[in-house]
Amino acid sequence: MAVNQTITHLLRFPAFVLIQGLVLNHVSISGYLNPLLYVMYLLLLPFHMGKQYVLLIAFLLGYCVDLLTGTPGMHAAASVFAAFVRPYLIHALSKRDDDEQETKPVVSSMGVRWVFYFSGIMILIHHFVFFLIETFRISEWMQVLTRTLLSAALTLVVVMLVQFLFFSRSSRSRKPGR
Amino acid sequence: MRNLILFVKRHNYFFLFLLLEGLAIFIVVRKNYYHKNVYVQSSGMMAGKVHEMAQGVRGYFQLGKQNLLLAEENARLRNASITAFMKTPEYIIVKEDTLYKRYMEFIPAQVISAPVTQRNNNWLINKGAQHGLEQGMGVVSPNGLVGIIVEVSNNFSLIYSMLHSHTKISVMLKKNHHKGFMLWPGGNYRKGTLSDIPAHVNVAEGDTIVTSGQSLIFPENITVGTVLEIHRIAGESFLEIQMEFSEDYNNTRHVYVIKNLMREEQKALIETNTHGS
Repeated sequence: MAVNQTITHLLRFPAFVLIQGLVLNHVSISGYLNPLLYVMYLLLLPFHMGKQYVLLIAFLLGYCVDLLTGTPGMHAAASVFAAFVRPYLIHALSKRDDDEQETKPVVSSMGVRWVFYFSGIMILIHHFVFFLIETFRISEWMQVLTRTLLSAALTLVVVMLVQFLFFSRSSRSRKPGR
Repeated sequence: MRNLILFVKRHNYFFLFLLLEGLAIFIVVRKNYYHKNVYVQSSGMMAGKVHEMAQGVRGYFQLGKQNLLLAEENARLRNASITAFMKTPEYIIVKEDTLYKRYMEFIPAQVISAPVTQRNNNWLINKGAQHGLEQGMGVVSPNGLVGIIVEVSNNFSLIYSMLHSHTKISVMLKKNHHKGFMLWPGGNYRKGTLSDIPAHVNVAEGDTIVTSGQSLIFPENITVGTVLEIHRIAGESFLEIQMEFSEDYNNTRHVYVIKNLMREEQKALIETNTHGS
């Protein structure tokens, strides 16, 4: 089971990078909104994974996306920051009776509300850091804020869709066996 | 010293974060020489190949539109070519023409990565040093202006597209030759800004904007866009003009790199002049 999950996470990595680099980077609504879905990979990593590893993975993930997008280090910086905040956020959001060793950050085991808040806050932080670094001008702060809010909303919608499509049924069928 | 090591050990998560974030920011800031080089070189091997494959697939979906664009351009060129003209008088003597000397060469290329969603969009084209491309050459498309090459590897070139905060192109109004600069303020990829046009100049919405030919990069009279909105600000001596790019940057595919054959000569002249003064 554990090996199985490791393989799933390993395969997910190039999938998210390629989908971001080759498909989503060419999606632009009203000129400059594009979803940065790859951050979802960080959201889906298991709770019990060492947080140092999550940081390293985040850097690698961001750098791979950077290579395909042609941005130097910007996605890497944003994902490392998001990964840094992640354990504190999980801690702040979790209820005391949660058994964090078992559950995965998906709709079926954590509930829609939890996943919505968790994903929403992570995405907001990640997008804000990304657009801040990308624009790199204080005089354009208005643009940074609008792009952050609108793109984050778009990404959140896509993340929730993916959650409902791929992570709600598979584990519901698994539940009775547990 | 021991305390310091203990401190670092206890907060190793935070220090690892600082290290990685610092590394990422370092890559962002060191964009001058090292990074661009690494990017183009590595993209020559990996990202460039991936983009080329993806563009190969994506290209099929745009075939109709691209064909139409190229057909239109072919028609325009045919109209300009010598075979479209007839010699009317019989007694014309053919003389070698020294009036015109060729100074621009167009090298066709294809865009393989063309983001429009970022504040600074770097584009990648599939020709490089071995096709004679060099840093500082201009790139145009059938409909307008694309950008300037900043870095070349053997097979690929990196372009600061028009949609980049460092791109500032000298342009003029076609009807009265008043010159200004074209830049992109971010946001919508169809709209740019035309700056440095004095307030007394007669501008109207819909006026055509063309390149001024004052840089050594682009020849004169390439259409780049039209005037969309004019803002007159009281007390300001320059107009604020919003323009629409004639090129739709979201589906640019076929481009031409402009090689200025007299660039060295022009540059040498400018340099001797600045040294003299």
